[in-house]
Amino acid sequence: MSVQENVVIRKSRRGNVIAVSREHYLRDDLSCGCGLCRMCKHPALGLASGRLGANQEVYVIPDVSAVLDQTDVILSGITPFKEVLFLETVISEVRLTSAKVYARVKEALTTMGSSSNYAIFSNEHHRSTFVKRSDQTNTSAYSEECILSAATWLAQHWKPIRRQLMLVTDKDLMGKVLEDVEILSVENLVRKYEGSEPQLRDLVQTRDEDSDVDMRDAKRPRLYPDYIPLADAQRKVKNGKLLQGVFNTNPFNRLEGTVNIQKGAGDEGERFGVLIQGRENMNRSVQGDVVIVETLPKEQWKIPSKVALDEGDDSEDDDGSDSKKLASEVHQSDSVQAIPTGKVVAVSKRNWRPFGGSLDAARYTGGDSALFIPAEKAIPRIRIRSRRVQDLLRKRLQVVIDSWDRNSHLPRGHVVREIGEVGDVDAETEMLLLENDVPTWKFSTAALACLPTENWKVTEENVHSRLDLRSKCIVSVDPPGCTDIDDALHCEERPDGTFEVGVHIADVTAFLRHGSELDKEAADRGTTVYLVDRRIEMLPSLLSSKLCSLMGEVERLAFSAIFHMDREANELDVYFRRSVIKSARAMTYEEAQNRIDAHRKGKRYDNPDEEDIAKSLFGLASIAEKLRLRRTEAGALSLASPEIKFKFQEETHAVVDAQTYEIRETNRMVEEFMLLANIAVAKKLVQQFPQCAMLRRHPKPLPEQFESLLKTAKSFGVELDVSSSKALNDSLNKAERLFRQDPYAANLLRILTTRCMTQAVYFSSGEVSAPEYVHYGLAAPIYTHFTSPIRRYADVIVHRLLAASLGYASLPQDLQNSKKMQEVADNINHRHRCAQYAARSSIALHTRVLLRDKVIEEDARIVRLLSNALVVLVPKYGVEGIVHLDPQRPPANVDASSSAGDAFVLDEDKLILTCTDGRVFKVMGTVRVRVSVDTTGDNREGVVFELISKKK
Amino acid sequence: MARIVTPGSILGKAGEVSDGLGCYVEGDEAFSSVTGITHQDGRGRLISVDVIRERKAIVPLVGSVVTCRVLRINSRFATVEILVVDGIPLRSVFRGIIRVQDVREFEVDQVDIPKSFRPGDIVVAEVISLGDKQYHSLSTAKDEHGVIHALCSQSGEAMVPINSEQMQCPKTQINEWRKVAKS
Amino acid sequence: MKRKGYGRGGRNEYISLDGLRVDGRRPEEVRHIACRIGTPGNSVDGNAYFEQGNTRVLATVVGPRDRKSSTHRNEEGMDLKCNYSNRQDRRSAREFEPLLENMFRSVILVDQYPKSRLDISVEVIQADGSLLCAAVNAISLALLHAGVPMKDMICAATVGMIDGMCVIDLNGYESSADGPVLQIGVLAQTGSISLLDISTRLSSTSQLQEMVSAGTEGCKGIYAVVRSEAHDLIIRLASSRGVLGA
Repeated sequence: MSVQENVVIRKSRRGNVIAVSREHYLRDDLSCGCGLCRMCKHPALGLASGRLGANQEVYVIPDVSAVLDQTDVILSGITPFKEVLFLETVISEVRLTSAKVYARVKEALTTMGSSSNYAIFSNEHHRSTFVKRSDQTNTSAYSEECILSAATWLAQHWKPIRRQLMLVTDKDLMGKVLEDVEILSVENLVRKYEGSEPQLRDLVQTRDEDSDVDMRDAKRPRLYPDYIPLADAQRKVKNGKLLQGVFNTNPFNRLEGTVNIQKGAGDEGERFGVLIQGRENMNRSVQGDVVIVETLPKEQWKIPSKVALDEGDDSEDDDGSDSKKLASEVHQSDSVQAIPTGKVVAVSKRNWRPFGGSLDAARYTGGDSALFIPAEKAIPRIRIRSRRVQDLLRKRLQVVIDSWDRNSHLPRGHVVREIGEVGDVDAETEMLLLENDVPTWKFSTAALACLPTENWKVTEENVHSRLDLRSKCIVSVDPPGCTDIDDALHCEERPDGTFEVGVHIADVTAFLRHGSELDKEAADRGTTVYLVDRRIEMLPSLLSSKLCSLMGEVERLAFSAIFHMDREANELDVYFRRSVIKSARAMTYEEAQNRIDAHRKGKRYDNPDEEDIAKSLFGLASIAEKLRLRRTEAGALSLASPEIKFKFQEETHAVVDAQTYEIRETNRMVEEFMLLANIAVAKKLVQQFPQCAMLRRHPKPLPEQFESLLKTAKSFGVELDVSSSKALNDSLNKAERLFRQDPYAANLLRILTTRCMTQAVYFSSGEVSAPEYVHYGLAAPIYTHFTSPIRRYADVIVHRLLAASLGYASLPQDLQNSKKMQEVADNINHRHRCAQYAARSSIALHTRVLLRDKVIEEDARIVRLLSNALVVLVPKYGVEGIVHLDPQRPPANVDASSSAGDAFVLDEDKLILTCTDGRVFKVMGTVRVRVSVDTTGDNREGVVFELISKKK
Repeated sequence: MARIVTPGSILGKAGEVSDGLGCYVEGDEAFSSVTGITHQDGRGRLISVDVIRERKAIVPLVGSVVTCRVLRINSRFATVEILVVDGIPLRSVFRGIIRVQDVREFEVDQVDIPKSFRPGDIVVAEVISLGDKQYHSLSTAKDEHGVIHALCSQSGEAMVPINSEQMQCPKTQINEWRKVAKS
Repeated sequence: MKRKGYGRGGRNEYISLDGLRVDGRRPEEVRHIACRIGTPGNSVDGNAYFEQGNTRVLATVVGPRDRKSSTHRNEEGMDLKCNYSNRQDRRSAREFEPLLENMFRSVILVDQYPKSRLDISVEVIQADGSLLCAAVNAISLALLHAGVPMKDMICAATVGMIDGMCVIDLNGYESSADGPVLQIGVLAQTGSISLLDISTRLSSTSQLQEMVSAGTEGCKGIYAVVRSEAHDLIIRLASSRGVLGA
């Protein structure tokens, strides 16, 4: 090894000039990256252990521009990109430039067993390829020099094994010539192989040559105003002249959006939305972009529209009709105030990710060009160009946006991935996972290496260091077919008439070491995602369904919370211990319920074990009853969501039927004890770690969030009191009695109430002031999640905190820092939200599958009124969608000259939509709809609702 | 065979090594405490580590025989600076005193300091205690300890001992009182 | 040329995908070490120059010698004073000095030097991480040069835990990485640990064990270099005096 000195002259913070000298070791023992090469040693070091192999005679070495701009092509794994060598120079520059691209390269390099080979060559530390940097050369010239030097050496080095190499560039190395080495642009290379590999072309990112833009500029009218320079815009944001925020498209009307502005920091800051109306004002913003807006003068402020925009109205062909679609504002009552309105003047950060969706087959007219309809409604359609449009029409695709010019209506993009056939359950599931940012990749080899062996058993040592609870009669109660059993319970009556209640939670942290690869992976995944027909696990199944799962009649490690309670279920004492348990039985809710019911009826068992189980369950059930009562007294809300359960055919796994989810006493019983344990743990944590406890809070909704709910309730005579959670719950219960003849209406009211609430979130106790810890829905002053560490990462953190507070282990440094804890919490919140969306989408997908090829007439409830449409919910299937009222059928008694928009009158206060033909719609009213599935694949929703008649 | 050792090198079993400078014993093994070359005695058994002379760090200990120079005298003691310890020159001097009662073994009450030492004399003495704060206490009570070199106060010539209490200047033939070391 | 429009760059990476550190070393490799015992033209009793990559320190030892004043702490034993100076970072002296004093007091045979004092001073010439360890190594050599008897030589190394990997001998850049940093001093021949200083709490004992064993390995590597330099010194001195014969 020899040393080179790199001297960097830098200016220090105080303004002194200092020379920082860094060592740079040059080595002889580095691998050239080719597994066939016999001259280099190939020690497996670092994360990337891949080697080039024999897939191709020619090895591809991309330069920086190729990796950055043509990532999809380079990592496609299609010939000629089956053997790709990344130079250290390239990787480090990519890393510094784009974290996203680097993550993909890293994934490719570290994933084992793919059909194509990726390898790395540390050219900058190789003695033969190192280039000394002279003072004059700038960074890009230097990296170019490094790449060329490496390529020249490798070409020589690989001659004995008869491998050639090819430098691939997108622009940097264009026009360079090198002896022995072919330098090609991605474009040319793709052209060469296009014949045999047609998919390649679609992956190429189209880039505008400057002349091209000029030409088109001249030809076509400018549709959007230019952006002002970003630096200027950001300066003006600092001055307060412009505002910056995240752009959100109105989900019912793509020509309208709001930019959420936060002025000032923290919760004290002012928050408000700026309305953006019309395509020109939106100025090429896409959902989620961080944009800079200029507010319009107050005279031009508008009212958010209530019009639902029909599908497919934003094609390129119809321009100038925007005004018509927004015209309905005239009909809105003046009681609604106009809100700040503005226009987008610059975009500071694009939120362009690969979007899932499919091509618009109905409008496809032949040729290379087609419109792509993203699955996410808020994303505009994307124009793509591909020679294989015909093949792609019936497929689910992922498309990225390349650019959006000021003279084209819609953004342009290219296909990066074909997921599968439209309507295929697997392809659709894959897409919904991608769309919801659910990590679907396999666990990395490094992470799997952290697992214990398959036949791990509780050892003597475990028993000694833990509380031995194997003799207790512990049972777990879960849904049928559940394999990841997080929790188990036991209840024992003591001689003095008090009860000992144990809540035993799988001790995942015993297997999941903090900071290990597996832990990082789990932290990233954040939660297990449950879909209708599968689950995407946070931990490998060896842990989640086997070693951690508290299965019946097997010894397992647990974290136990042992409560001591009196007959009235008052908590006398609680302590937490790591323990060893042996669950007597894993029961389903139904089994447990039957057992409790039988016990109540006086059934006794001869077998003492059976009797113990029954007694334990009965004890638990009666305590739970009291706990529940007390909690409701305190003001806990009982809320509802339109949950349904699918029935599958045994062999084919095809969905046969759907029914609403049945909630038994035992469900509530288990829930009650989980809440009990969670609250107890939260108290303990906050006492021990006031600055860095992971807690969960549910903020009290703001009065304005309830506004529409109150209006809705009022429209049919229910007064809701939202002053506190208790008052709200009481008034909901009162409403339930009121709707005795229509129980679903009460349920619907609960569903609507649920929707008013903000999401509960995890947070670090140091980031929020103590009064805000409150969990509104549960009416608990403090709450956390402790009971499901197998499927939620927050619980894993909580377990670590609890273990540290009990002195089992010291608390890792990064968990002591409130800021870092908050980062962890933020990620979990994000993943949690994504998991919920994915689960919802999965249900919707299976509903579509269920309804496919059928036309069903069902009763539906109106949940929201728009000025030309209804949002309805079909209780039987839990599906929700828009019913467009048909304006083309003006009733005879109305003057035919009135425009289409006048056909409906929406009374904002009473929430009544009156049609000129005499039909009247009220929120929560029942309508009969025809439900069918649009199988053409163009429709984003899939399920189509048609109004048949209005029911009384 | 001589070998080069560094601190911590094992020299052998505890019994095989002379307990001299350069070694230490821990448990039943002896280790080197300095860097140097091992020495064996004739039978090839006893080993000591010899640091190259100048490189030996040494300080006067109780029992060390030191060579020192007299700096000042008064009726109670003579102040000296220690120059050599056990035949090894020190890198920097240590200060010592020879009290009147430690000058000789007999007729201690009749000792007169000015009649024993004069500033500038080179004296061989033994360290009898590390003393109180700053000074090592030295003794010249033994016969072989005492002044080994002194200059005549008049002529400046080096004097020669004539008995255990007097020295004579070869030039002026003047006798001067000293506690003379017996050679 | 700055590339634009690609969003945010990645965070710092301390170990490349190929398993190399920023400066090209493998995680278990120590930087290039050079040392010199007894720099010419220096009148102090012992001195040594030690270089570990770009970290360069000079240690000098004065004594053992007579105490000048009577204000010393312990009346009988040896007084060990250490003076650490780093022009760039003056605060670290207060932290390092007692650490160094205690460490060397435990290894020097202080019983043999009653009522004397020993002054050690370390000067950081250039700083690039692992300063305390370089100071320890340099002092060890200077003491050896001064002929101060010690139980053993101390060699020290830093071990960091970066991205779940043990990384030895952190340079300045790596020292700024998040993660625990362990300073370990090992008695080179007996192998026992004389210094263990960890910057943060560790999550598990196995992690500590892993780091300690990695650090011990690193110290061994450093000792090999130090020992050969010590041998050179003896041979140099001895041959000039004819002790070793030819």
